[in-house]
Amino acid sequence: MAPRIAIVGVGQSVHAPRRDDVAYGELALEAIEEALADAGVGLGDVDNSVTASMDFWDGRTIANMAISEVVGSYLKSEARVCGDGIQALLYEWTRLVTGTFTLGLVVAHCKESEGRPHDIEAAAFEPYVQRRLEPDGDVVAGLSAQRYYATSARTPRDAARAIVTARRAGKANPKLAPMDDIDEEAVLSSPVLSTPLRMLDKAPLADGSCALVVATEDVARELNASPVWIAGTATSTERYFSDRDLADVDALERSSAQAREFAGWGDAVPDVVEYSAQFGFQLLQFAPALGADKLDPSRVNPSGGRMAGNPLVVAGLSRVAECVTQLRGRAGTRQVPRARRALAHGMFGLGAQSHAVVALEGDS
Amino acid sequence: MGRRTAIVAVGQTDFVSRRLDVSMPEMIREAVDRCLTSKGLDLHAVDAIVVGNMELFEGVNHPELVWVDAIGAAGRPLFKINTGGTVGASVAIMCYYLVSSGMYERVLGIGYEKQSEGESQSAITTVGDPVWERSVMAGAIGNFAVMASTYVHESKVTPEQAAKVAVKARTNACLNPHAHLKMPDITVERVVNSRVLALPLRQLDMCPTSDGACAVLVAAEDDAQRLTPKPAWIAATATAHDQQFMGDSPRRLADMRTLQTVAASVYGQAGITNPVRDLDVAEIYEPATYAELAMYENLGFCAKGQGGVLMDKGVTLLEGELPVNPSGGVLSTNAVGATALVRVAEAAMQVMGEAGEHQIPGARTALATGYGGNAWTEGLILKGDRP
Repeated sequence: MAPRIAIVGVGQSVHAPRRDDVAYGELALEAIEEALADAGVGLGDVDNSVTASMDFWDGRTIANMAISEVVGSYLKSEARVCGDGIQALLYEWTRLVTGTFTLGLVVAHCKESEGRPHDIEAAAFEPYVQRRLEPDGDVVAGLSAQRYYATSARTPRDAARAIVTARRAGKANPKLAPMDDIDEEAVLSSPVLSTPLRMLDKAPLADGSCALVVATEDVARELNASPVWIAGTATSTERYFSDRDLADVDALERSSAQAREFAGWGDAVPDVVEYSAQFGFQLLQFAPALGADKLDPSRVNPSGGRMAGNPLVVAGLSRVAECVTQLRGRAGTRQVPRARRALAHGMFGLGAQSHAVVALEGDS
Repeated sequence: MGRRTAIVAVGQTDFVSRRLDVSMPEMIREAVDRCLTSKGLDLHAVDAIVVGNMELFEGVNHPELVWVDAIGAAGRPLFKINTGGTVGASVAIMCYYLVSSGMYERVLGIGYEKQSEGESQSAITTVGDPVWERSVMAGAIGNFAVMASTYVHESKVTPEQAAKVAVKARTNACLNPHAHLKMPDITVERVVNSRVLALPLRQLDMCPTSDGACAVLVAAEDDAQRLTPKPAWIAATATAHDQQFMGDSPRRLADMRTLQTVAASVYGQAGITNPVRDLDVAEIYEPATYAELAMYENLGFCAKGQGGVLMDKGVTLLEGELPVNPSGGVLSTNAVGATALVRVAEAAMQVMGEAGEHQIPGARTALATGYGGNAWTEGLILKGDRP
C-alpha cells in the first residue's frame, strides 16, 4: 500500500486568448502564488517541484530555465516533463511516495499565442517523408473525425451541441476569458477547418497556467488545507497517427481503467469527470472511456473544459484543479452536488496520442 | 519509503560526427537493443519509457511520439524530458522515482541526439532570455569561455593544466569502443596550440558534437538481482538549479554552487565523507577542460584553487586514486540528449564490472553528474553493493 498523497493547494492564472501583459514566467507565477496561498505555505516551504512545458511552444530550449525563480528552485530540485501537466503530477506523486520529498509544487504553463501553431505542429510529423506535405494537427484531427463519425452513430451536430454546452459552462468559470455566445448552427456553418471539422469545432488558442501544491499525508494533515487525495494515476500512449485506426482511443481507455483500478474504485462511478478535448468530436469520442457518457451532463466538465479556453500542457492540470475545487465543495455556482470521487484527464500529441488520467477522492 | 532500485542493463551506440547510415529512430533502437539484449531481454520486459532529447536541436517536436514504435512505447506509459545538458541525468533520476515508488517495475531510460541533422548552437542560443540575453549569448562555447575566464582568474590554473584534462580524456577514449574522439597521439602542446574558439578556450579544450544514443534499464529489489547478478544500485540522487540570469549571480561560474549543493546531498545520502577516498570512480559532465578542473574543487576532490594541482598530481588519471571519466567523458563524446545518461551508464558499467578495457578494477562506488542550462547540476551515486 503506497503512502497517501494529497493535493492541498490549487491555483490558476486567468486563461485568455492572449496574455500580452505577462511573460510566461510571470504567467506561471500567477497560478503559483494562488496555489501557495490556498495551501497556506510559502515558496520556501516547498522542497521540490515538477513542471510541464514544451520548448517548441515557449520558443526556447530548456524553457523551464525561465521559471526557476518563480518555482523556487534556487539550489533545489525542479524536474520537468515535456507533456501534459498530469504527467508532471504523476511524477511528483512518485517523488513524494518514495519519501525523498514531502511538499511539492506542480506547475504547467503555456502561451499558445506566442507560437506559430501550424509550424510547431508540422514539426511533430515524421521528418523524413511526411513533413514535406506541410501538414498540421488540424489535418490529423480531420482524419480522426472522419473515422469517428464513420464508425459511430454520432454526427457533427452532436459535436456542435457538446461545444455549445461546454462554452456555456465556461461562462461560470471565473478563470476563463468570456467567449462569444454561439449555437449549433454557428458551429456547423463556420468555415471549414479540415473536413469534416469547422473552425468552431476547435478549442480556442489560449495562454494560461495552473499550479498545484502536493503533500505527503503527514504534511497535508498539519496544513489542514482541505486535502484532496490522489487515489490513482496512469498514462499511456497510442501508436503514431498514421500507424493506427484513428477511431480508437485505446490509450485513453487504458489510462482510465488503470487509474480507477489503482484507486480501487471497482465499479463505482465518479461524481465528476473533467476531461480534455481540443475538438468537438473528441468530447463525444473520449466520454465513454471515462464513464462521462453515463453521468448527468452537469457532472461532466463543469469548468467548461479545454473547449472553453485552456492551453495545451495546462489543460490536464486545469482539469485536476477543477476536480479539487469540486471535491472541496468550493465551486460556487457550478458546484456539483455530493462530489466525492472525480476523474481528471489530459492529453497531447497529433491525433491525441498521449493520455493521462488521475483519480481523486475528497477528504471524508 | 522507496524500494531499492538499480540500473540492470546499459547500451550505447558508437558515437561519431555523423551517423549517415541510420535514421533517428534506427539509431535510438540500436542503443535500446544493445541495452536489452545484454541481459537476454527484449522490449516485452519494459513497463514504461522515459526519453531524453533536446527537440529544438534536430527540429523534431515530440520525437518520442513519432518514434513510438522504435522505442517500444506504443500502449505504454511514455515520458519526454528536455532539460539541456542534464537531460540524461534527469532521465535516470525520473526512472529511479518511477521504479522506486512502485509505480512501474521496469523502466527504460533513453537519451539521444543526432546533432548532424540539426543546428545545435542555434538552438542553444535560444536558452537566453529573448530580450536581455539572447543577443549576447553565443551558444555553449561563449558561456563556457566566460566560466573559464572567471575560474582562471580565481584559481590561477594554467592552459597547460587544462590541456592535461584534454589529454586524459582523449587518451582514455581510446579504451572505450563507443567514444567519438579517440586521439592516441594527443599532447599538451597540441592542445595549447589548437585554434582559439573563445579565449581562453581552444578547440581541443571543448567537447565535440556527436550523433548517438544511450539506454538504461532500471528495476527494483529482487527483480533487479534476477535480471543481473551485479546491478548498479542507485544509492543517491540530487538536483539543484541556479538563478536564471547570469548577471544575477556573477560568481556562479567560479563557485558552481549547484555542484556544491548536489555533492553535499549525494555524499550525505550515500555516506561519503571523503570523496577521493570513498569514491572508486567518477563520470562527470565536463563540457570544457577548465570546467573539469573547477568541478574537482566544487565536488570536494580537492581544496579551492587546487584543481590544476590535482590534475598535475595525476589523481584523476586512469591509474590514479580517483579516476575521473575513464570513458573519455564529454570531451570525447557529446550527443547532448545522451551525454548525461552516458555518464550514468558508464558509472553503472564500472560498478557492474562491465566497462571492459577502461574498467577500474574493483570499482564499487561511482559518482555520475549532469550539468547544463543555468548552471544546473544533477548527481547520482551508484553502488555495487545492495544498500
